[in-house]
Amino acid sequence: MRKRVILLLIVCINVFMLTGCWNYVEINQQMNASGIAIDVGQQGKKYHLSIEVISVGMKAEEGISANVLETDSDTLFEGIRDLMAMTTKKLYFGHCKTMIIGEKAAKNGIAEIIDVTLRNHEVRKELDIAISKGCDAKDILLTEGIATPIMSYKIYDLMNTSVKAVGGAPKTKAYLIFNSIQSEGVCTVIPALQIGNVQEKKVLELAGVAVFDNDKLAGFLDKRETEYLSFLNNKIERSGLLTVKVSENPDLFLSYEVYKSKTKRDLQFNEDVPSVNITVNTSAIIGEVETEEDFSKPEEVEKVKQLLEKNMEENFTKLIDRAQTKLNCDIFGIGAQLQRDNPEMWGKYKDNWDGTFKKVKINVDCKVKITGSGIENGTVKKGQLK
Amino acid sequence: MSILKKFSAKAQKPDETGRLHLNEDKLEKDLDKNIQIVSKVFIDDGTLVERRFENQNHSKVKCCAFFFDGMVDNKRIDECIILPIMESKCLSKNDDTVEDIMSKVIASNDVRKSENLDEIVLELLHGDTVLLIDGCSCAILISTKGWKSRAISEPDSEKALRGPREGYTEDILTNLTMLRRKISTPDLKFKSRTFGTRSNTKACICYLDSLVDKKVLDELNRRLDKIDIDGVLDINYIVELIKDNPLSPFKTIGVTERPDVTAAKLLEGRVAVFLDGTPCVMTAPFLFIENFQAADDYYLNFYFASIGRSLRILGFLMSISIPAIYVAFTCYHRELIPTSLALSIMQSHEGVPFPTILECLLMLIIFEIIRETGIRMPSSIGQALSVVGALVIGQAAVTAKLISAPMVIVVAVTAITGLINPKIKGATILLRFSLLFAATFLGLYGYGFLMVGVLIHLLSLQSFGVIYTSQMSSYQISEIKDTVVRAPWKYMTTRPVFEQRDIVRKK
Amino acid sequence: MIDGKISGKQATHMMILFLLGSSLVTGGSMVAKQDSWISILVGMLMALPVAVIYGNLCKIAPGKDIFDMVYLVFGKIGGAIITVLFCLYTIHLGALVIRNFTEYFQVVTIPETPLAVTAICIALLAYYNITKGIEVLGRGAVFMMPIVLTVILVLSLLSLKYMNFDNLKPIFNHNLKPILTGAYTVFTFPFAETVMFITVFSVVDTKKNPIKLFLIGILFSGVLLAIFVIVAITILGLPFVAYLYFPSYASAGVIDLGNFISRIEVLVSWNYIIFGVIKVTVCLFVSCKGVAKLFKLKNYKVPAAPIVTIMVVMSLLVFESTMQMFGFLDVYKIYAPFFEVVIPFTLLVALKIRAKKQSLG
Repeated sequence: MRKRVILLLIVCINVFMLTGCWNYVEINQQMNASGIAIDVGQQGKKYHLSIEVISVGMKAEEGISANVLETDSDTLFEGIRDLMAMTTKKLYFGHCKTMIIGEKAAKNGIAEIIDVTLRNHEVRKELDIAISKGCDAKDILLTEGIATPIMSYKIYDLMNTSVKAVGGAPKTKAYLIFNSIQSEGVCTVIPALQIGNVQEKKVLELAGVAVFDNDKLAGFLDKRETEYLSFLNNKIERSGLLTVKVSENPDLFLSYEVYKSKTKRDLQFNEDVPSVNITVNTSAIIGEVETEEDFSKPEEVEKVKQLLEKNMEENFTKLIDRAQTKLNCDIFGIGAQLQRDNPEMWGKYKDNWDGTFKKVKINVDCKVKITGSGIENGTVKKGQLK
Repeated sequence: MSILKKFSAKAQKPDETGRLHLNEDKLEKDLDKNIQIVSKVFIDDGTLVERRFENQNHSKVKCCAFFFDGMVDNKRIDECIILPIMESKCLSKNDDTVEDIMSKVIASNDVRKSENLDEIVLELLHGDTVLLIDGCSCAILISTKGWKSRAISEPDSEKALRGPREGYTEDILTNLTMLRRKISTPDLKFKSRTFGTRSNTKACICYLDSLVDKKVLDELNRRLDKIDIDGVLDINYIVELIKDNPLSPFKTIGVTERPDVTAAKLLEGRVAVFLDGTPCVMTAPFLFIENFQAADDYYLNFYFASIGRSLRILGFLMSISIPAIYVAFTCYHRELIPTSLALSIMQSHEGVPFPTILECLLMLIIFEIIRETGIRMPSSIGQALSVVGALVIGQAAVTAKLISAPMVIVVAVTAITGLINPKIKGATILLRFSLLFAATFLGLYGYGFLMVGVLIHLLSLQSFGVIYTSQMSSYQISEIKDTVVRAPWKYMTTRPVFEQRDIVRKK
Repeated sequence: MIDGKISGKQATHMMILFLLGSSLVTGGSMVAKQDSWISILVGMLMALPVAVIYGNLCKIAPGKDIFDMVYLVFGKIGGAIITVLFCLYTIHLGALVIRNFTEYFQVVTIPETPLAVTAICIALLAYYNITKGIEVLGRGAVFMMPIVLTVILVLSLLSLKYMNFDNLKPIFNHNLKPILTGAYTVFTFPFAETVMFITVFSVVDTKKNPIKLFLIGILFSGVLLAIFVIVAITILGLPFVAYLYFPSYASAGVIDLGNFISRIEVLVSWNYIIFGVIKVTVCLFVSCKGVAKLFKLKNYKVPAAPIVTIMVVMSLLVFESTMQMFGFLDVYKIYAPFFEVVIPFTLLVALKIRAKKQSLG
């Protein structure tokens, strides 16, 4: 019995003294990286990596501040290790929420970047990815934040709230992009950011989406077109806003608030090439009116409704045109839908989907339901009180 | 070796009632000789009173009363023993003197006759009066117990919001009486015993004959028979000697200070053991879930009681887990914490010289010291200590950058939730520190592994043959209706099943 | 509870947690891509007749474990040989399971910790479990089941909004061969490993039909596994899911509730610890019984310590890398059926013939 106790003691002492806590990391031993920006490398290297790190001040008054560290390297892993030499602390990516890829780097292809993001167990696969438009990715990180000093979190908030409020850019997590790059039937679409000027201060704005052909950047869609894209892809989550020109008087506008929209896509195979009938069912509320209408009369409502439907169909057709001719990318995912619903037909077309997509006939039909006009049923009539 | 032998020769083995036989002397017929024999046993005892007296009418009837001053009710002796014998007109010196005295003269309600010197000595020590009569080789024992004991008050450690406020005192007879008033049935059995070869402490085993599990009772008796100890001062001495698994931090035998709790447990078929000199009463068998049951669960509205019960269980889990989880989260898995919280923890940790684990250990140890001091010190210094404690742990340490602010909150919450379950205090402290170490080594996995280990240990415990986690691992409503929630009395129709004979509670 | 015996309900719970065990970590077979859930269900159906065989064995020879039966049918020498083979199989399986779990812990969250540490932890827990007796495991399984199910349910509900059921299409697109291949893999690992439970049922004290208990266990865990795979596919989408080593873990990481509950995938590891310990304990139990029978030891708990040490060391040596570990499934499905199907079937036939002879003669 005594021998057993002594043995146990020896084992315990050895275990506690000679081994270590291998993964125990003090909270201040690692620097939190909050955002990554990838550009084309200078000095002959492949990538120029900029990482925004959060540093915490000693005193409570100093607060949190962010710095951007930059380096050039051939692979991303190497770049991260180089930065460690700069800061002497290891970088921790658990709280990293955004990754921005520069326009030029995107033109070279983003497949390798996405791969390393997903393989590493520290960098999360739920990173939000964005493309920088018209400037380098690191410039985006370097702009000053208005509310918080940490740019990456602001970008994250921007991308997440705008989706819900404005109907803007669709969510793009790294693993979803991975899937869409690999899929032959859909073209990847990633939100784009650009730097604008507001009172001579540089401010970040969402600027639509970037369209990819396989994994190389092919072109951009602006904000309006992105909204229409969301309509056609059935990705309107909560609300969107549409402004329409009144046909009689092109100076006057009507704004509608869209709060629900469902899109159905029917594929038909009458001829050589499949054709698609898209039906968009939207429910909208009249938001802002510049003409003088009285919405208690059904004819007025009908008029407004027709206006909206026509406007939407025009814009959708324009977008589809652009996608088929100029960009030549299937951003609507028609190929993917074909693959899912009708795999035999997909087998026929999949080898040359890019070429086939150009010829696909897409018809759009919009059905709008005006469900209300806010809390008033008329408008402000100027100087006419009868 | 020879010295040991000399000592051991004196200490002899007790018999089955636990008494030592010290004397081989016997009583004789002569009064003076008997007085000498009794005095010799208590040779250096100054509190033994020897009172000789004789009958007024027949001076041949001589008696001597022995009693311990302070242990007896003096008035009783005067009025029931000495006065009647002195004044009795019907006494005479013959063979029936003892019988006459016992049946016609002594006005006490409990008289016995004894020739056994050991018994006489023992009863004298327990507060009886020994009456020696000239011409008789036997003595009369008269019950005159009258020492002072504490008034009945509410026990400090088991307070209840509503319901009976009685708590046991140190006198076993008072305790047994309190119990009998709760359950007035001839089914309630009290079996006497003595523990301690030198202390000869009285004990009593109680159970309801028609409900108790005979196997448990036999096992209990068997273990009690094996006890060989010289002095028993508190029920815990006995508890530790008969425990199933003495090395486990979890209690497998329950201790209570309230008669209503004891009565409830007896009605569930358990066995209670009372001990003279302590207000704590032992109940066996004891299940894990009873750690979280408080007396007033049954006296309050069942919603309130269920919430209280769940809070207690939650409090226990929180108290053992929170330091470990805090260390695991901040040092291993920082991505689990929401970002803004992580940043503020980082900020508060800036400039603190100790690593998190050391901070945590330090704070917990300081808290334990303060708690222990709070129990031991005289209450007059109480105010000063609470102020000092608050200052030391609170603001000053944080401002001096010795520890970080979140750590104070963690330790405070741990401490408060730890005090919510006084019954399981020992296990809580032990588990808390072990889980903290485990979490330091492997993060959440270390915590998980040790919790599984503790769970395995818990599941394998038995209390007198009854599985410790009896009421917890079952899906039947009849089993879990009294665990996490307390079902309304309308639904409590069956007794908890641990091999009972009489299942249905209501008839 | 009588010492040394467990009830039928406890055995079923043990079986469910056992089967969920390492398959949850490795995610089943993704050969059939989006139809992987169908291959799991098909594999489960393939395991049902085998389960009937096991149940019948338990019914014919109640109270006897598989080693007793082997000795009865094959005689002393044959019985010894097959017992040795079977024990090797069980110990190897235990080592594989330990390796599965330690790889998972190491690759996913704590990379610097050597494999040995988590291996020793799991092994110690299994050893402690066995020394306290198999009935502790039974009670543990019943106690843990609601907790495990609650965690699974909560996680699935929280991740509902990330599920995209289009990812499951096209359903059954001439995919028969991959589905069947996947089904066969799932059949050998884990469903047919219920052969271990023939030994467990030798200590079960119940009047219920053992066939029914086997069937319930396999059906329940098969459906649960299929649900897991569906959740993983709908959240993560193909082909990403097929690339991952540990898809179930990854699918929990997507949950992001108001920025407060996010990145909580480490919490599913708690579930996995329970599964791992249960599976290793059952393997340990069976091999202890076999070794005890071989060396004619009275108490099956005696060889527990050396066997668990062998398992730990074996788990460290058996593979070089994560890739090899996943590649081993292809090898496993070739030799495992010998133990899982051939031996029990032979035993059943032999015992039935014997029973008929006895009733006639």
